Amino acid sequence: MRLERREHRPVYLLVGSPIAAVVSALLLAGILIAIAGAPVLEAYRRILIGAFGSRLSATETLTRATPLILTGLAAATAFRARLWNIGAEGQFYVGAIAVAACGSNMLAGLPGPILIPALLLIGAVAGMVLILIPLWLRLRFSVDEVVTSLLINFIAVLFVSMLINGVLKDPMAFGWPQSQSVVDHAMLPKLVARSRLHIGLLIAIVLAVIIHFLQIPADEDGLWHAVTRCWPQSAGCSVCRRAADADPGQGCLPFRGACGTCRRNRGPRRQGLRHLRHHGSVSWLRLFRNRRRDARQPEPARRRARGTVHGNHVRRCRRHEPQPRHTNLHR
Amino acid sequence: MNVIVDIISSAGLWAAILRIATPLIFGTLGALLCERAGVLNLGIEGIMTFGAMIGWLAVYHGADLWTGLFVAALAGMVFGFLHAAMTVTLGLSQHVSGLGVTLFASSFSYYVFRLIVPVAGTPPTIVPFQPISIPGLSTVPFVGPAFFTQTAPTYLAILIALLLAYVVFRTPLGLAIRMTGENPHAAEAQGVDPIRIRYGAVIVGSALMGMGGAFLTLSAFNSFFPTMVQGRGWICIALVVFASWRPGRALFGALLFAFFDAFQLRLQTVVQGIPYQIFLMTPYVLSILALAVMARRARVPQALMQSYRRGER
Repeated sequence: MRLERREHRPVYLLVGSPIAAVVSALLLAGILIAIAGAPVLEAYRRILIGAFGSRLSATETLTRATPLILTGLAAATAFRARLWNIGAEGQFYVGAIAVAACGSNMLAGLPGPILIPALLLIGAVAGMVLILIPLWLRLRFSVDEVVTSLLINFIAVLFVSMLINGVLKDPMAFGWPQSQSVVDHAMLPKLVARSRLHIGLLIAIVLAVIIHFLQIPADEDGLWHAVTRCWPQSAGCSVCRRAADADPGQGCLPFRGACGTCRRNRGPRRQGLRHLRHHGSVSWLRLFRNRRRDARQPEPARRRARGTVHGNHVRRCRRHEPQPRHTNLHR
Repeated sequence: MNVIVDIISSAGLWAAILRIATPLIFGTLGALLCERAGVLNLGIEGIMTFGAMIGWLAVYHGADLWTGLFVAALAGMVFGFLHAAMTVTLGLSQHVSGLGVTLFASSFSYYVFRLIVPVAGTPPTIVPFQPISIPGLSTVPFVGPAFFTQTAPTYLAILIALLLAYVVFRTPLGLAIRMTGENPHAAEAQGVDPIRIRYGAVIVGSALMGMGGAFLTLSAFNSFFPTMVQGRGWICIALVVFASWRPGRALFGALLFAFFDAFQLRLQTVVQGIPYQIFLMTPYVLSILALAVMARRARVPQALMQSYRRGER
């Protein structure tokens, strides 16, 4: 048996496969429910009623989906850049505690319309600060970000636990470890009266749409056009073009090729900031992957990947030239 | 200062270090074997939980302690096969598949546990492995009670570390595994089947992870509770990087982490006035620091996290 990547995914698969996944998960879970000796259909009926059966449960389901949507988006954006941010949990906790700290007493005097955006921003910045640690370690010491972001989760959760048991502890909570409540006028406005559903859901959906359109198209041609449109200077670099050609099927790779091997980026390694200026802010996430790739590859392999050697000079590859096979083995 | 010297010079600390390190050694070796073949196995946390559960359950239902350990290894193999099928044959993302295995295995072990063991106020217990005193060595003052009165799986873990170091660096099989992790195309050209090597490495590695979990219920404690692995699996993934993918250093790294852990536990009881969370954080903070120091010299297997498809460049 041999599996090959599809050139194009037909629409029925695009729509059908998530549905098929959910259905098969339900079937498998049904087997487990049956083994446990409970009526399967009745169990699913109750789950449905519990989630959507009444006005209260439906709004509650959406309320609880909101943080999941946002955290999922956070992971998706980083993963798209092939930056494996496993630290979502820690960032989530730190964002929550930062907002609780500022919203309960520090900034509580501000009026709602200013306070709410300020608190959202504070939560975002707190999460960002936490991921900056793994990123800094990645850049400075080339430590794998999967591991550090994972370990920082534990530290963040313990840190939050320390705060709500210590400085931020609510004296009115009868010894229960919890922070003081965020003031009422800082709470997000409700979408539906007499429920907990708030405009956070709309914020999450809007962000999802924005991120969807911000992301570079996944197929290769679209990506190539996007790269040349955003950074015309890299279009002049034949190496980038070659990189775009050499990677069929892998949406992200031409992008990597385009900013990793571009002419302007040659020279000493530690040019993070210069690189940033050159390629614009979108590419800053890509930066980490490129640098690691460069660090990983031994020098001759890198040089070889840039073009074929003829005599004493390196000939730049043209776009539609067949590539000798060995140059691609080292990718 | 005196307090610290007191703690370090107590034999109890050193005995605890080996005890704490054992599941980490098993898990780290398992993850290391998978990664040497080029597959990141983030299923470790769930596989350890399931191993802990199934090993305990086997013993609870009358099996031998060693049978319990074996059953846990077998269960680990099944999950390893699942992970390998998804990442090697289907070429899916190793992160997603691994995290999926973790979520599935840990919830599934709780499900099986609840299904078979009725809810009770105190969790049911078994008789765990007893410490074995190595004749002669265990009577040496300080060293004897610290290092030579451990339970059998601890000795087994150290033996496996040495064995794995030998296999990976001194045998043709080890060469094939390392080659698959570095460059599966070249391995294929040399007549090694990267797919089979990867399957084998992931399955055997997951068996080790299952045994690491089983140590928790069969030796360290005597009952199972669903949150008992407590992120040890993730620590193991970090230790693999710390060990720069070498079994000997993995052994050292696990012992070092266990030292931090045992040390902070004892320091907690002595030092007053500092929130206990600070102590709990120290092993993680120190792991990150140790990683920053070690990572410069680490050489990552080049084909790690890259799926291999025959005939595709």
